[in-house]
Formats: sequence, C-alpha cells, structure tokens
Amino acid sequence: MKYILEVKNLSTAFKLQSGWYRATTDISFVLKPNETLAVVGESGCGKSVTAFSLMGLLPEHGSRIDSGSALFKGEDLLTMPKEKLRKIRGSAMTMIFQEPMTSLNPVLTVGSQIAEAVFYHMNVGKAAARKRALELMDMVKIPDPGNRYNDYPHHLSGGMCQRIMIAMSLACEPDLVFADEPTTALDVTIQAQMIYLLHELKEKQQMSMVFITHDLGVVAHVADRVAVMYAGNIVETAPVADLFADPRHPYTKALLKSIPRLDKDNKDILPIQGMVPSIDNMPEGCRFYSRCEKKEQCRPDKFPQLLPIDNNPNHLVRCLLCE
Amino acid sequence: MNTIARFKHLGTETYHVFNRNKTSWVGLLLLTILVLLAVLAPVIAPYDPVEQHIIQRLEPPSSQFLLGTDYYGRDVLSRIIWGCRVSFIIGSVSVAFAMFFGTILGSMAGYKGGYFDSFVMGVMDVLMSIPTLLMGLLIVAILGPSQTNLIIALALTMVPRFARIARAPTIAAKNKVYVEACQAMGFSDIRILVVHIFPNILGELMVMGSMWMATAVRTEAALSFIGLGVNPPTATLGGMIREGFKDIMSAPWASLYPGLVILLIVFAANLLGDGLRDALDPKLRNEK
Repeated sequence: MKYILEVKNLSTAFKLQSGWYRATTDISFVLKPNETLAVVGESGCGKSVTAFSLMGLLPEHGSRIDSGSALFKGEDLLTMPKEKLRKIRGSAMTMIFQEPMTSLNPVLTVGSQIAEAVFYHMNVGKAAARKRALELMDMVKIPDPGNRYNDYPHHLSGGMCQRIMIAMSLACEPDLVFADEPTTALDVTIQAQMIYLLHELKEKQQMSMVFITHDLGVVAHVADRVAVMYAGNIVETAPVADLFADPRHPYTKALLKSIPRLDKDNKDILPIQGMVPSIDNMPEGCRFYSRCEKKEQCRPDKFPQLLPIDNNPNHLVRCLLCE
Repeated sequence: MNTIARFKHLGTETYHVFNRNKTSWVGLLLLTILVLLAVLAPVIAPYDPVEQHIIQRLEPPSSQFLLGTDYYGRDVLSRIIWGCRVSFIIGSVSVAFAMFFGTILGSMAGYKGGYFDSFVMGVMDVLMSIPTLLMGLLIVAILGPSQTNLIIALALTMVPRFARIARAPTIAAKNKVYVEACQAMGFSDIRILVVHIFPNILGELMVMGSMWMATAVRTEAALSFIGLGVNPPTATLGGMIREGFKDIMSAPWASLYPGLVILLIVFAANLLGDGLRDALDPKLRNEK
C-alpha cells in the first residue's frame, strides 16, 4: 500500500440562506504511511471542513459533499456505509480537537473516558480497558496515572486535558490521526510540549497524521509535507524544507513574510492587504487575485490549476504566473 | 449540570448551596417524615383504616382517636397515614413512568432533530394542551377508576412535560464539543445519549421530578375528591375530604386534616424542588 489516504477533488458545500456554497473546492492530496501532512491556512479557509468531511462528521442538515473520493487504506470514506465509517472512526482514524477543556465530558472521570474508547473499539473487558487506559495515560506522560484516573476534567489543566484527548485518540493505535489545531488553545510552553509529544508518539506508533494549524512556526517542527490552503483551495503543497526555502505561491510567500521573528528587528513584517473573499461571493478566477502583489502581471478571469513546478511532482502550485 | 460528579462529592458545592437555603432542609425533612409515615403505615397506624367504630361516629379528636373519627366511625389519623401511602405510591410511580418515557422521547427528539423532532414534539404539544386534571378525568372515565388507571392517567399527562424538560438540555449538550468528540471516537448515538448526555441532563430532570410529584399528588387528590380516584373504602386523602365534606360544619376534622396533609406534601415537595434547582444550577450558584 503506497498511500494511507488518497483524497481526490473533494468539494464540500454548505447551505446558506441564498443557496448552496462550496466551502472547499477540489481538495486533492495524498498521505503516505507514517507521514505528517500539515494543512496551513487562515481561519475559514476550509482546513477543518476538509478534516470533518473525511471523518464523516459534517452536520447532517445543511451540508453535503459535492464531489470527490477519499481512499483510506483502499476504501472510499465518502461512499462507504455510515455504520462502517463509524467503526473506523475512533479506531483506525481518529481526531484531536482544538479545545481540550470542552472536548471532554464534564461529568465523567478522565480515566473512564479513555477506558471507554478502548472498551468500545477493542473488544476487551472493563478491567483490561482500565489497565490499557492507565498505560496510555503513562504514555502521554501524565504523572501518577493511578490517581489522575478518577479526576474529572475540571480538576485538570488545559495541557493535561489535551494529553487525555491524545491518549483517547491513540487508544486503539490508529493508522491516521487528524489533529485539528491541537495546540491553539494552550499556552506557548505547553504548545511545544504537546507538539513534541505528538511527534514522538507518531514515530512510536507508526501512524500518519494530518496536522491542521494556522501557525507556520508549528509546521516546521512537525510536518513532513505542507499543504497551504486559501479560500477553500490548496494553493501550494511541498515537502516542508522546500516550502520554507523556496515558496512559490504569492500567498505562501506573503504568509512567510508576515511571521514575526525573535532574531530580527521585524521592521520588514508585511501584513497581507485586503480580505478573503466571502463564501457567497467567490471570484471566477484566481481567488487570491485581489490581494496578490503581482496582480498587474496576471489576469483575474482564469482559474489556475494545481500543477507541478519545475517538473517536481512533489511541489505543486496553483498560480497562473508560475505555470 | 454534572450531576454524578456533584452527587459523588455531596460534601462539596451542591451540598453547600442546598445547605445555605434552610427552607430546602425543611422540605426534605417534612417529605422524609411523610414518606416514613406512609412506608411504616401498618406499624404506626393506631387502627385499621377501614375498621368502623359505629358507636363513635364523627367523634371529635380525643386521646382515643387523635384526629377524631369520620361518618362511618373510622379513625381519621389511621386513614390519613394509609392515604399518604396511596398518594406517594401514585405520585412516585406516575412520575417515574413519566420521567422514563418522557426522557427517552425528549432526548431522542432533541438529539436526532429534523422531522423526528418535529413529529414527537408536535404530539407532545397536543398532549400538553389538555390540562392535567381534564386528561385525568378523560382517561379515568374511559378506563374506570382504579389505582393503576390513575397512575396511567397521571403519567400520560406528565410525559410531555418531561419530554420538553429533557429535550432542551439535550439540544444544548448535543452542540458541545465533547459530543462531537464522542462522534469522532465512533460511539453509537445510543451510547452517546445514555453514557454522555444523560448524566448532564439528570439534574434538571430531578428538579422537575420533585415539582411534578407535588402536582401528581394534588391531581390524584382532586380526582379522588370528585369520585374518580381509587375506589372506596381504600383510604385516600382526596377521598377523605369528599367523604367528610357533607359534615364539614359539624365535624370539620374529617376533611380538614387530610386537606392539611395534602398541603404539607405539596409544600414539602416544592421546597425540595426549589432547593435542588438552586443547588444543581451552576448559574444560580454563582449568583449567591
């Protein structure tokens, strides 16, 4: 098996008052076993929508998947029966959420919530599930698991809760984990710990990860490859070193220029001018055109395709100027 | 909200808020005494509730009959104690049934949403539009007066109330991230409802349970009063008021005391409900 996940032309639409609008259009990417793909982009660009579409977690009413296929270990996630997808979810494919404090049920002990995941998916007894939960708590470096097992989420800090969430999602040794901004709600020091923990566990358990974030600094630490998203499209995808060394899409370049750095005086920070086009008013052509600094050399009416650049099949860019 | 957690640590917040409001203790104490009386009726009651002391009819309260005797010469105190038993059985069983079915319907409707929700809640609204007493009358008139039918009638009128009470917090809980996280863990809907949502709505249900318990007792008394309750000669509080009513000018004790006991039960259950509501509601807790 070459790829653990192969997504082709995935488009997801949401219903607004005036009709259906696409939140993501033609998302295509592949993920190799034991690879981390970072999906980067600003709020509302469709990062989470992509993950939710693949997990089958979109709201039943008011959303639909317009087109595409997503082969997970050779089976299409988008067309398989719901029951089958549900069984895959939580065992072979899991998700870590953004806000650890609210992602745990306030009335159940954290230990029992981990044990529940084990019990539910792994066909073991309650005692074995409890034992496995304690092991997992130890694995995510929670001190004194025996005592923490019976704590409620409000007894723990955000970082601890996120460790519990990580333990839950890794309970059944998944092949693929979606991490949906797992560090956004945490302190910077805890963020670093969390990123290293996730990275370490990923290596140990040999799983693939889709790491959704809007923080390019985080990307450099965890990712093998990066996909940059803008207004519902992937605009550039490349191995992480290439992307930082040689960004091609004007949006990627602008993003990299807008990161403040500790080792410089930051006079050259350039915010990106303008606004993201809204979902019900997407331009026909290039969606970044209005904000692009090279728009004088370009044309607004043609929609660019995601194409390899310099004949490198690993580095794809969606830009008319780069074609 | 997090009932189990709080009940497990009853020494903490819940207890303190409940404790701060002394009236809720009065409610709990009164209700406990009345329930104990009802449970221990065979031991405590000085006389058999249907035994007639024909010579001592309409006797005023004395050392022999503490609360007097009624028209048939039966001891009022003993009949009150046995009447409490009937009231509590009817009240608690009907509330339990209503709570059970109402919670299932309401939380499923809230969780599923869409047409299922509209249909179920539409039916509930129709049921709710009929006043409790009228509905009780209707069902008892159709099925005939008996303890079981009374329980059915009361439960049926209360199901929609519990469905409403269960639905709203279910919808609130459904949109919480932890339910989404449960879905991401691949748990079945039933599991999410029972294991994850139910403990979160239990608090509200408990409060409503104690409030509607009072209403059930009152409605039972009202139906017994108009002769649609449990068949005589079984002692019921409502029935006693009715039987004593014709002699109310000469022997008020025969209907006054059972009336007072109904008042006490309703009062105690409401006090307890208020205390529970304050103790289980995180918003009210912070205000105080």
